[in-house]
Amino acid sequence: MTFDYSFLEFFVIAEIIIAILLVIVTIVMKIIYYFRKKRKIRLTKKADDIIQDALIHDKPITDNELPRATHRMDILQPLMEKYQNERGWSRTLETLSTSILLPLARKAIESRRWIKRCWAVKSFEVHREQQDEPHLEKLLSDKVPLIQFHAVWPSLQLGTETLVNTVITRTAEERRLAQSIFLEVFEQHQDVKCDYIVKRLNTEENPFIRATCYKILMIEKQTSAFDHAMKDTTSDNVELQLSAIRYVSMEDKPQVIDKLVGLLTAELPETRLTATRALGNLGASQTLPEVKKLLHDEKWWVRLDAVKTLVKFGPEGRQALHQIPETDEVYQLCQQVLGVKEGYHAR
Amino acid sequence: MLDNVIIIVSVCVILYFIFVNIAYIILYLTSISDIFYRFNEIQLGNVENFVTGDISPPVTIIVPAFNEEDTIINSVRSFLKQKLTKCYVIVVNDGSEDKTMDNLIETFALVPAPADFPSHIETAEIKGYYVSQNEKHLIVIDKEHAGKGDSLNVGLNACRTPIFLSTDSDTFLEPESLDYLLFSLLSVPHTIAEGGAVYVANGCTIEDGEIKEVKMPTWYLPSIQTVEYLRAFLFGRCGMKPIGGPLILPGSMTMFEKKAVLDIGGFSRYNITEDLEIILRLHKYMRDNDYPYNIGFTPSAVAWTNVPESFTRIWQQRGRWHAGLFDALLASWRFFFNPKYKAIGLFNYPFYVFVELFSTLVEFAGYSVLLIAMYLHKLDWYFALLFFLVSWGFSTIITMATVLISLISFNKYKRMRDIIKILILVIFENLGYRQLLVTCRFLAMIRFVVYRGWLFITRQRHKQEALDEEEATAMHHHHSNQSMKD
Repeated sequence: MTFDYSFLEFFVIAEIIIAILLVIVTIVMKIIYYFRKKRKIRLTKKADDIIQDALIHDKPITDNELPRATHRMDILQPLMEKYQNERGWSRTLETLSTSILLPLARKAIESRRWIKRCWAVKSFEVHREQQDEPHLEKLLSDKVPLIQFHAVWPSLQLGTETLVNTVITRTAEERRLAQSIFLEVFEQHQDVKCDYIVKRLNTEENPFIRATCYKILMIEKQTSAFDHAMKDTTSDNVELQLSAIRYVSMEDKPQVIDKLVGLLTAELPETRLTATRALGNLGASQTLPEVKKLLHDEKWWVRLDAVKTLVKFGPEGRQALHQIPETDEVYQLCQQVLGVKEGYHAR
Repeated sequence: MLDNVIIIVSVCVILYFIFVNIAYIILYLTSISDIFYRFNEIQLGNVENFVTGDISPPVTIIVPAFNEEDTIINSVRSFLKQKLTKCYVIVVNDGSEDKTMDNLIETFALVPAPADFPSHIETAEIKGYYVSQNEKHLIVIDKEHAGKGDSLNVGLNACRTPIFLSTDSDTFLEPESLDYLLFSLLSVPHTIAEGGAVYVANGCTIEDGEIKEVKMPTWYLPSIQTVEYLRAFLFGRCGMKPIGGPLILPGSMTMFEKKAVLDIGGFSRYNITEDLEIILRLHKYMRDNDYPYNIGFTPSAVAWTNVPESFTRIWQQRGRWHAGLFDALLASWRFFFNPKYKAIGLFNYPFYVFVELFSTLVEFAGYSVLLIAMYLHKLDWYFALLFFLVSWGFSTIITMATVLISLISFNKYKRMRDIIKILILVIFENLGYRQLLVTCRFLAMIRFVVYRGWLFITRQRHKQEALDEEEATAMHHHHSNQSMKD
């Protein structure tokens, strides 16, 4: 039995050639990247100089003033963000956006490259016009999460009924990660058109969308949907019920306290927990006897929040906790909560 | 006769060699496009613009720590220095016997607090829950020793953010690492896990949790591991991405969507390579339930870790990794050429079985045949030399190509002497170090098979004993009933 292995010689030669080629390609690529980077820095600097000059002389920038090569969203958008708070910027910004940035962004929305769409939505964050409503609506439904998230801010800024409703629907549809980001944007946004949200509550039946509406109204500190929420505190949908409980507890009204006390004996531990927390946030120390009963709740996390609520009730609540005998199973928990809270207060 | 056996084994080894190298070439080609795509994003895209501000989601870093008194403080400091504003750190002390816990209490002014989190996953007993008085984003949990997987589960129970990062207590993150990871995670729909690249920290100057100067280690072992890590992360993980996603993401740098991990019951407490095991289970769960998902890897997010510097420690570590790989692959055998799991079942999983797991056996067989042929004076020296040159040359080319890609893109080693050192090590990695690892892995496999076999036999024996006992009890009852009737 013989075995012809002369082909291995060919492999050895091929490997040497490949190794040499690899080194050559690396050097060429390194040079290309070096020049690409340099070019971008040069163009950014050029655009920066022109914008600074326009700002100093308080003059608008026209299409022709900026070199064609700088008409790129990744160059202009960061510069616009940089100067956003400068005096006299609005006039420069308006011309720069309407003549260069927004046309680029509108075109990029249709791009198959997601990074381009991402730059488009970032450009809308800087400036947008009424005609951009359908563009933003499209971006809010983009498959790339990052683009959806960035589209919330300009949509709320434009604040049309369609966009506000789309944002509410998207928020309700999303999983926890996206929902928390959407709500975070609301938190940073002061002038949300709450009328649209209340109007939606009048007709909306989807419990998740209703819950989202309460969450947003809570962030905006708007209590205009109080009556709707009082009804929803007894909803069968847990998410809606808990959101409504949290929402009504923004108002320190007797009927709210009565409602919350009633919910302390609810079947669902989540409901008992949320009602306890709400009473703590309201500082409703008159409900101390009812909350104290939860110190022996079957769920440890409800017991823990009952202790925290009592601490929030002030000296009266603390006194009640200090009186718990050492033999009580909840004693250790009370001591730990008191230790941390009082330690923090001392600091 | 013996001549024929030697030739047959040689032909088998060559065929295996061709098969493995075709797989490597596929991986290499798929990795290049991804690396340059990511590099373009980073270099030309101003990533930090996209993940800062309102849309930056909160992230929790879970740090299991077992006997890490020397590194834990620097590591935690590096985690707390992340650019990401909404970043929380949970350190889980896994019953350390050294001063890990004391150092944490002293440095971060920890005070006991009530354990304020639900137990989604069952874990070992928790001994204490601490909050820091000077770092409001830091929580430390002290628990009974039960392994890394269990510690990660404790952290997972305590985690309140929708995303978390699993890492190690001897790992350092660059300040923008989480930004890059988040950017990648949020740029592809339905991403449930995203891994980052890990580099060797030995030799670097680290101050106050920050990598001040990047240098190649001076010792041979950590230096050679630098090359190994470069190849594993840039080539292995990136290459798998377009074909179903990687099966392994680094335990020291992987971001997960919390809900997905909770849905599969958290990390395994029993597998020693929980990072591989969790990714395999995530793939399985998502495919079985037909959920859309993506598991990704980004070489732009970087972590630095300390690697073993002694032969004993590397021997133990690699043996453990290989046994863990065997265990995890065995547990998910259903993937094997199963079209239901698409690319994972048809390419990725068989790749790990044939290339990562069994390459040890084939290589070991190759070396054994070589030694036997030498001993019996049956060795064709010219063939041996040619074969050695081809195989050594090929693996050198693969490593060299990866190192060169790294130099073009995310180059971390700026000093010319380090680059030259890496290129020299690429050539000499296959002389000595590779053979050491093959022997270590081979012995680990033997140990694992013997252990599993012994476990199986013991279980069967216990089962038989239990059955016998049951039978005896039944007989006894039967007789007593019979006598009562009589």
